[in-house]
Amino acid sequence: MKRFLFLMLMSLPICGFAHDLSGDLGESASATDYMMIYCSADGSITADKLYFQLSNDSLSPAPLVSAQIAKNNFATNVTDLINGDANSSRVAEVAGGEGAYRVTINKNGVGKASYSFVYHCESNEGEHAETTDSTLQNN
Amino acid sequence: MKKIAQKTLLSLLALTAFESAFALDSGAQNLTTTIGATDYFKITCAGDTDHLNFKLFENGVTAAPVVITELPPTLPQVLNVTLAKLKLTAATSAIAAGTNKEVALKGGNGAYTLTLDTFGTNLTLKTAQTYSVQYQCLNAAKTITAGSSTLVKLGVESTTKSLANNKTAKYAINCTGKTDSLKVKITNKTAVVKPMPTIIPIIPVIPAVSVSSGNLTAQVIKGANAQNTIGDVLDIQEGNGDYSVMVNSPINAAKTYSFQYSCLNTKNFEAKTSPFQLLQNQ
Repeated sequence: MKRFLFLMLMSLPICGFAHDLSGDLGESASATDYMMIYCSADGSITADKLYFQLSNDSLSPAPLVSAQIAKNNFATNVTDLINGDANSSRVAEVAGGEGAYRVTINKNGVGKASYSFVYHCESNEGEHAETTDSTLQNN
Repeated sequence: MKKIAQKTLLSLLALTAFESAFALDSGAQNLTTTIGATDYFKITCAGDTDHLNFKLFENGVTAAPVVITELPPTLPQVLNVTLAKLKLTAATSAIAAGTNKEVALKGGNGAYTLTLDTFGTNLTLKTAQTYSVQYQCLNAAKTITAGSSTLVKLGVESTTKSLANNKTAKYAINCTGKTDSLKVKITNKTAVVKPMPTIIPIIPVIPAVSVSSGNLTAQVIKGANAQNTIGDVLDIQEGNGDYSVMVNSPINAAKTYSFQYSCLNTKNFEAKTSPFQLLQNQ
């Protein structure tokens, strides 16, 4: 039922090194997956911001899936407005520097949903910085 | 443009010995159409907080003020007193249970009429009132002269008398010697009726708005616990400390909204709820 698949992809030519994560949200409207993404310097490459893009992979009619990325006193929301198509949400770039970024993923109604997202820490020049994560809640 | 209205509706409910007060705080806010717009708050719970109770209201209807149903004041049982001599009168009214008042009339020597009544008393209290009377005939220097009454001797407090609601009692007091005035002290000895302590119910009036359109969502986070709501009440059981709240719109719709929150202990009684702190207003 619930899953978190961690895949490391070398998919973004600009950044050179991206991360992809997918999961499901349960039936309840309050269902929220919750994780921390940690950004740190990679050698001389500073971690200036977090790149994040969300996809709602649900095939059947499902609520919209959104993600919120917060660090320090800043927070933003991204939503994939069309379920199951080839397009993802807008890209959020949260310039919070090094440290822990809080990511919550949820829906706007009752019903199961599947999602995936791409993320990585990067410098202001778009170079990939050290990126790690930990899952705090999966429901 | 961006307007913040913060109301502490009941930050302190002085309910004396009762811990069952339920304090609610609330906030009202606008969410703009800025891409990714998110309002970001911090709510701090202290005391013996077990969980944060949170509810989101959509559509710009400010959370209805909490209605406090207060007990009507309990009217006292009272005595009224009139002292008369010929065309001279002096009166004092509304001597409540457990209190006393004095009335004086400068009428010289002779017969005075002391009238007590219970008009205007609290008729819901059926118990007859009890009282005592003490009087002094005084000369111009306020020294006691001489006098008498069928009620009691001069200067002595009478035995306790009783008087039912809407009744009148009359006594004659005769002052002699070089009396200048008559002073009468009436003590209402009726037992004070203390209303039974009653928990004041606080009934939040939930506004009739859509709380489930899904056009607005809120997330409440503390520790490793994160919950989402589109209008349902959330209870986030994470004890004391700072709870983060984010409000956003999946469809980037401009929305006005309000929310109510309260820090509660394990018995669902109010703990200590601080007014929310706005971290980001979009």
